Amino acid sequence: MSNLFTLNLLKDLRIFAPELIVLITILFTLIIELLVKRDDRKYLWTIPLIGLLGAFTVLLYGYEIKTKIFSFNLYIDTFSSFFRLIACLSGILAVLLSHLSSEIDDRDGEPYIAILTVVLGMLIIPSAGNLLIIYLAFEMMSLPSYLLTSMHIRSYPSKEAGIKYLLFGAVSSGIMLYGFSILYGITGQIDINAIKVALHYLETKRAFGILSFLLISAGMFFKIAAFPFYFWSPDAYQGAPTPVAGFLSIGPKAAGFSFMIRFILSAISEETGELWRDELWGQIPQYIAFISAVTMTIGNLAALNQRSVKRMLAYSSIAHAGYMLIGLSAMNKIGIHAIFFYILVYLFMNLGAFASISYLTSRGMKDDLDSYKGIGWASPVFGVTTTIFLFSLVGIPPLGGFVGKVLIFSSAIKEKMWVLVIIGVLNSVVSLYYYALIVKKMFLESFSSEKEFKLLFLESLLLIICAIPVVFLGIFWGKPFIFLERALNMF
Amino acid sequence: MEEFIGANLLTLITFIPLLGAVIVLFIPRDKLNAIRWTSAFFTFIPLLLGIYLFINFDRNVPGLQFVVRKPWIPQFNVEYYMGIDGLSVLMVLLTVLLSFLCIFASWGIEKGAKAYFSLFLLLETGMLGVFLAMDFFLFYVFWEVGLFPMYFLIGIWGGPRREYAAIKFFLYTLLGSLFMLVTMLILYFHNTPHTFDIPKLIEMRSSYPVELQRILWLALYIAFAIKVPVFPFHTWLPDAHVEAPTPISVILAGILLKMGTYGILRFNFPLFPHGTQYFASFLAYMGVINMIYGALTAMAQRDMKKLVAYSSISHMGYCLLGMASFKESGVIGGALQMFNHGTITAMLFLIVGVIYDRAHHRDIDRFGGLAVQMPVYSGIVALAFFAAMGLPGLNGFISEILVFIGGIKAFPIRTIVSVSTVVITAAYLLWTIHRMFLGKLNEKYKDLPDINGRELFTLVPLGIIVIFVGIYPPPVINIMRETLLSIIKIATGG
Repeated sequence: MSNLFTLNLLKDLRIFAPELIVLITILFTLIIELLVKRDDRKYLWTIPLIGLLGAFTVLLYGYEIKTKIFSFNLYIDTFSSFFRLIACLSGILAVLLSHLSSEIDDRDGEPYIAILTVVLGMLIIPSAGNLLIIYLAFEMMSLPSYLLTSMHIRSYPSKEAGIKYLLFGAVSSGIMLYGFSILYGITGQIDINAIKVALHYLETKRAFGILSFLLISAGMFFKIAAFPFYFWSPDAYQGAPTPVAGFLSIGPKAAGFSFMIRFILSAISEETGELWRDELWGQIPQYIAFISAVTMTIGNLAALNQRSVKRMLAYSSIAHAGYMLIGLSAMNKIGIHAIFFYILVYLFMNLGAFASISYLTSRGMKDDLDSYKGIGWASPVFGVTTTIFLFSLVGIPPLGGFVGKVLIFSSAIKEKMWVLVIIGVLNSVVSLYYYALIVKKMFLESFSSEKEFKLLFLESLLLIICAIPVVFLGIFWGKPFIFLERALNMF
Repeated sequence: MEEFIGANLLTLITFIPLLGAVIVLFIPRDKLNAIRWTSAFFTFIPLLLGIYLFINFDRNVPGLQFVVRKPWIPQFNVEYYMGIDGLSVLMVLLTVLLSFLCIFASWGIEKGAKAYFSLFLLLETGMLGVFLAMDFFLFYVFWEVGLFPMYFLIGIWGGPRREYAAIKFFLYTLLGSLFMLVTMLILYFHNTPHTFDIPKLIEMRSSYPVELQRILWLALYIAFAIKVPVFPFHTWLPDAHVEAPTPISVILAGILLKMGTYGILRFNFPLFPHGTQYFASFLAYMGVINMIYGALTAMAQRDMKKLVAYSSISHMGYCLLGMASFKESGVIGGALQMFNHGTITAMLFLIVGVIYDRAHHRDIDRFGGLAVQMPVYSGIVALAFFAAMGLPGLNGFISEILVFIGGIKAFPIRTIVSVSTVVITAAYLLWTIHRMFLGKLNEKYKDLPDINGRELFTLVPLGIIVIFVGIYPPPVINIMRETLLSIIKIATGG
């Protein structure tokens, strides 16, 4: 018996390899930092980079694996593989960006260890199969991200931002946990699938089911910075070192969506489809649609008047969470595909946009609009790639953001949610205005920049690495889409 | 070789400018002439292909020719589907011709020339794609690809208020195109199997409920009306035109505006016959308002470029009135007006550019007696102005008279009222000639050189077309006749 258990454990550990690689990298970075003197830690950043690349490769090879490991506690399937790939990618880009930034002390191991731990949390969330693991994984992701937020060297607002993020985060985790406990109370289960079945047969206490859903979704809305829990994000992003802000605008969002999708999709799968025809549960799509409409409108309107580009992008990322929620509220296959696609594109275009700010602030410029003046002419690579990211965020073809938006709107149109579609469309027009402000500063206002602005090789490379997928996903999105479709096959 | 060109003609014509745009980026920025000639070369090939297309186009076929069809995104039934018919062939010809000429009109652009020519070539690809795409999704992509180069071309190389004009243009058009996007997706989901294939969508037209047809007709109409522009969506146009550099104004008025009327004929008419009939009367009203409003506003202008811009609004009204009549002559007149106005307005904007380059202002009242000083230039101005007025023997006359013939049968009162436009147009154009070219020569301009060879080169081909089509229109009418007749048949047959 014990033999069989060990055998299973060994097999499970092999499937758990990506997470283990990240874990080992964390320890390794820690040890290296202890052993090597500060002046010799010039190449410290390559360790987390190699570790994450390794985890990424292993994941890519094991994309098709479908199994449940560690006594059914972790669900490994294409769905989780997709989100784990996203986690690794965002980690890789964040490490590169942190290395290039002067806002973060590159010779210290802490930023990298924190990033790796966030990634580890993000790796576990999409495969988590029961409530306890979900909660623990979320905390594993959140705690280091509070830390990362306050890691800006010699910046007081950064510490304030960290504290703010921590306070809001702790409260929202508490709310979510309360939701979990109610769910456990009425169903007596912590396994997601078991809960789904139990909810289905729940005759009385339906209202409690809804209550728990609302509480849990509140926690999720905090993670993805949706209305009414978005207050932390502009302050946290602005105070945080720019690479961290870029990372946080993607990581927790992707993780939050992965959990929501798994949670909701489990409930609407074939055998429990009737749940959504229930009077109370049937309101959920409208509830999400409402949150989505308000979120994107607030995000876009608030972004209009920002002088600080970092704050503008913080509000815009609130708006993008709103767009993605459209796909969730439509609750159809295309909507979920749309969220997958959107997250993938968003990863590149948003990190690219944050990278552009990071390059400015690293050179001692402020993160406001005027810093961008004439830079497009001084450094065409910077100008063109940033324009690609911004126009992709607006959703202009032939860029990836456009395809994402088309898919998102398609899902709502298919469900005939006209009001939501109209609000989404108008929001896109509004968003063009403020994104174009940056483009205007870069190219339209002045012809030559007085200041010298040259990018390092690695900096240009990072921008191009982000820009290529944005363009590619806008034109040849057929092949990558097959990849995404497989991620949904498990349902 | 011949076979390859025959099978991929439309792909080549569309993407050769894009190839040029990329190549231009690799030329060192101080080699101005290399940049210019490379751009000229990459617009000249599409021009040759366009002429080849015009000659080899089978005039007896109403449907699509030279079709290129490949799957693009198979999961969503999105295809790379290009085709040309009688409606688009003249537009394509106009696009390749004006693009080629405008490269020469852009010779004077020196700051950021590399970016300018590259964006210009990208714009040409976008415009050609719009006229050739037969897949709605593809059409939308091209429609938007034509948008952002324009934003930069106006915003970087434009006049003093260029930033305002550029963003206004961008916001307006994006708003319109998003209406189109939603319509496209609704149609996509309405049909099973889901498809973006335009001819297929047209085939399924009887399955669209009447209510839906009306709503979608309006949504598409807003998208296209902003582009035309139809009153009251026209406010972006004077700003964009006044601020844009000369060649960009030419492209804007010569081709981009036509994308609006082209869209109405390509999508609104055949897709939603019920909607079209329901709104035909409304469309005719809008046409008449555009004609008279544009002409009256043009009369009040002192800035010559603004005058031409408002005259464009007025002339695009003819297209709408002709199309709304559903009569053979009216619709053909409307479609021909798209082509004719493209040539005439291009001449007008080039003319404005010539005088602006010399005098550095465009204030009509500050000139006088230029005819003595610049005789050749004045002759060409007279030709273009007379064509715009609709003088018999020039191409403007043919399309305008056809529009009126069609209109008088369908909307007698409105057409009679609209004929007053001809008088107003004559008034403001003659008055302009009077103020600028006749009378005593303004002493300040006694050393103004006459039109030079390069400028002449951009104007003469257009002048030849203006006269040729005015005297002998059958080649251009016959080429679009069959297609237009089939569109009328669909639109009236329900």
